[in-house]
Amino acid sequence: MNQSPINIDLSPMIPELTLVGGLLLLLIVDLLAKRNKGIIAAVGGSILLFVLMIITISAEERVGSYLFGTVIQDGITVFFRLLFCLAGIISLGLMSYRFKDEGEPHLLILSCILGMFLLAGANDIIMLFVAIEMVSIPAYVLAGYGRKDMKSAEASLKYVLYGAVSSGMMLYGFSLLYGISGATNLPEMAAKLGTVSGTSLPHVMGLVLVFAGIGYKIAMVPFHFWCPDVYEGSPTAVTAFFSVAPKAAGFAALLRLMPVYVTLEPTYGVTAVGMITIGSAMTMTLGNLGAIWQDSVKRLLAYSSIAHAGYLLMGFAVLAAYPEGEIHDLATAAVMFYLVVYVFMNLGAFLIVDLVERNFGGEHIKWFRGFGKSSPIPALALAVFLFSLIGLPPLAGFIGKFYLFSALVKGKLFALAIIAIANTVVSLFYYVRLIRDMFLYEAEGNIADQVAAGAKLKTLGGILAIVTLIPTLVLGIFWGQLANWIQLKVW
Amino acid sequence: MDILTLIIFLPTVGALAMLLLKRDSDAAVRGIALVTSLVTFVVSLPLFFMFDPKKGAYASGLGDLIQFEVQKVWIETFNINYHIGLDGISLILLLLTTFLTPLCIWGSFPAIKQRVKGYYMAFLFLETGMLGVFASVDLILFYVFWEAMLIPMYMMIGVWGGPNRVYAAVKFILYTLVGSLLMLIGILWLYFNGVPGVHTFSLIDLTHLGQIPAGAQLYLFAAFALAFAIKVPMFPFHTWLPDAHVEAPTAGSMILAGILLKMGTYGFIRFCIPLFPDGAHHFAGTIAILAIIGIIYGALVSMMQTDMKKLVAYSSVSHLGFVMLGLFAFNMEGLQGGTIQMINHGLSTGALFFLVGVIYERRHTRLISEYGGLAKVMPKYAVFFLIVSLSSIGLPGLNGFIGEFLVLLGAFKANPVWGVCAASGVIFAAVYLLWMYQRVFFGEITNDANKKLKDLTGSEFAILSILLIFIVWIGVYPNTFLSLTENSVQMVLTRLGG
Repeated sequence: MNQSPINIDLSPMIPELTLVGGLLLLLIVDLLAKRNKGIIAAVGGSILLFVLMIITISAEERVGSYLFGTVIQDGITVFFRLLFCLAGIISLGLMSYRFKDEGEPHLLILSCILGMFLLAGANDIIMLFVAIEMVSIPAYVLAGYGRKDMKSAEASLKYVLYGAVSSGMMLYGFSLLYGISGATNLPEMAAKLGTVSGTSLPHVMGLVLVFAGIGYKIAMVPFHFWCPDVYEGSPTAVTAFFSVAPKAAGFAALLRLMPVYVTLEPTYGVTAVGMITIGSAMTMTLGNLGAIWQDSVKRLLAYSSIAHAGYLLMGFAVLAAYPEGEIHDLATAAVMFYLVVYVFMNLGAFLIVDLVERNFGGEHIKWFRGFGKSSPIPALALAVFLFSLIGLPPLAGFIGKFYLFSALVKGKLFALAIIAIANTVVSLFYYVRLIRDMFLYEAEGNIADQVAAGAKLKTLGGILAIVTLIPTLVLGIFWGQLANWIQLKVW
Repeated sequence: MDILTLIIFLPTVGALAMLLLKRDSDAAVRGIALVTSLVTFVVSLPLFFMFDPKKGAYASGLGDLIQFEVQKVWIETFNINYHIGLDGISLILLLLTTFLTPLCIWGSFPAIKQRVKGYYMAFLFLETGMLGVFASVDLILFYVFWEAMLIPMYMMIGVWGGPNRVYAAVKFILYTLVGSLLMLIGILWLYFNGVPGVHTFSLIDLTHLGQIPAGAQLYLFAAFALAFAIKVPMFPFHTWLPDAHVEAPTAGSMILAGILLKMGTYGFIRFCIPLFPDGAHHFAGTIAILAIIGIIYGALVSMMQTDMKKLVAYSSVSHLGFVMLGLFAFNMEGLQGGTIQMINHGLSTGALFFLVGVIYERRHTRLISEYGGLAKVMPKYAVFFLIVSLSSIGLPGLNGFIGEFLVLLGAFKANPVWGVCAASGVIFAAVYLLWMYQRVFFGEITNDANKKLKDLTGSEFAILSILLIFIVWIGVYPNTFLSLTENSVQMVLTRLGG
């Protein structure tokens, strides 16, 4: 903030600049390559992301705000950057099955991650907005990448339309907030809004609109309508990426915005806690209820991801209720821990769904009947991911829930905890239904032979399965290290 | 490594060893399963002799009673410890588990022909879960073991069960999860507020230092009690039980009746009552009445059953009503009777399920009307069936008598009306079991299919004989077991302020 405009220090931007450089390099390689363009891009992209992880970790100590206060670097930035890289690497692996000869989709994922990197450090509404758009625009293109598929085209269009509306709303909200506070920098804005006594109508409207905008990005009810259609229509590998990375980015943005939200006073009956609590309760309830009726497993997982966004929002409700202190830190750590676990178990589940789709040509639930008998290993892996998504010990999903529940109990938000319990029970229903179909039912009718032939995880699939499966199992028992690491990032 | 950890995780090691086997090596899988569970039993036997029943006389909390204690840091950030140990009550339940598991595994050999490896792996994982539940002193450790049992049990019912298995499996897991999640919230509340100034999941700290306000105790008791009541199962939460029992394979039913239901009653005596004595006093009347309803209702419904396995399943509701009534009589007789009745029910009902399984393997039907006059073709079977039925009814000299007598004595002391009502359950039990016995074993052989039934095989005879030894032992000299639990029960009474 006291830096002179001439003396711009670009060193905090090294990860982003490296990403841009690498991206351009890969683009040129992609132009020159003749065959296996997709595989080259995926391998190159993974290496690039791996390098970025190393850079991020090595620059960990450089805490502070840079570039006129628009960019902040703290533990949370580092955490989210590493998380995005991790999700990116696994997604690239998945993508390379589907897009063997096309480099662009992989590069689009990398551009998405570039936006997320900026988002993780954004400390200014303009930076925040630009970063969100940088995440969204490549995502619109990716959704439509199944070019000959009508559903994919529909998904892309829906995504663009909904995305544009949500961006507009968010931007309008930001403009209102800027109008009241006169600041674009988030901490400054929070401080200014905090000194205004009483809450004015534009203040409330601004925050509600921004919340709605973010709500679209994380598929919060009632702004979730695009989500099942987009997830179903997009190529499965892309859906896998959508279900974790942009969602985590949305939560990163919300985390940065929390200080602004807690300035809300209940003049108009709207409080941050109330808003987020209702959003959370509705999101998990509708997500879970919606999932029960799905026969398309991709759609089922789409609804399940909506429900998980609801669980994560519980942590934000605690954050809103306790702007600082021990409980605040516990809730932040809970959200972060849950995101890590969620990345592994959700990508793992999509990995197996993608395997089924590639081998059998569909991801309708009928293809999963008898799958456990013909292909025990992938089916068992999927069962582990699903049990973890339910939150049963001794799997990682349980620890994620345990963390969130402990934040809720410590924050005395018992009503939300009870709603979450009811939801977990509902979710058991559809996850177990899929497990039941895999292991307890036989394949039906004319597809029986095809299912009986089974599907095998080959080398790459095997590696990806191990990469997602081991954390899902190990973090259920030995999670002390990760918890410590996350707490260091929070404090 | 300490002996207790070894016992808990030996079955897991066995299960993991099976992974190395090829797909169709069923004989080797059976061998590993049986050997693992037998070794676990043998290793657990010394605990019985090393245990000092005199330790912790007039203890004020669990800490003075626990033996074989092991404590290692698990998750430092949350002060979660790998903390295990045994007192008298958990010791006998742990021994019951290691004792019944090999019998169940042995008993499954002829019944389980498909997906053999998966079945025995699930069984061994289940054993680790059960042993862990009884040995845990840390609440989170307890919860993890408690929930970890769900998946193997779900698989056992769902994959190897009867025709309606899928419905039963889903119902089982849904019911159990509802209860346990509420308990998790309760556990977290205890962690933050149970001991002032310290965050702890340790049951020992919570019983010794815990200062839980009476108002909060009501909610906490309710949250924990719901989880345990579903598991017991108490009327009106019992509806999952008949489905699960009828559909589960024989060994699954044995382990379900023998051990899993005891988790619920164990939970009451280990967690609910000592941690929340005010809550317990507040709810004692309600629970006792529900228990009595369970006793009578279970017995009446049993009487009307046409399926032998369902009959035995409903009789469990009745028997566990006795256990619950004993626990909530809040006196020495009642609590001791309830505890010994847990063991009795495990042995007698386990044996009954096994006996029903024996005949089911031969005829593939469990309808009472299909049988008649079996005593003529299967004399050995008939004798065992009679003795086990009588033990379940409570004939003096057999185990059931001791438990029911003590429970009734305790109930009379607490409230004569309870005693009178519960005593009628004993009469009903005689009616439904003896009536079934009469219809199945006496009279002429009316059904031609029964004329050539084979009597018990050698291994069936052996399994039943082993069970019978303990049925008589407890009936004749219950002190072996009562003396083990006396101090623990005394501690519970001290906590209750009695």
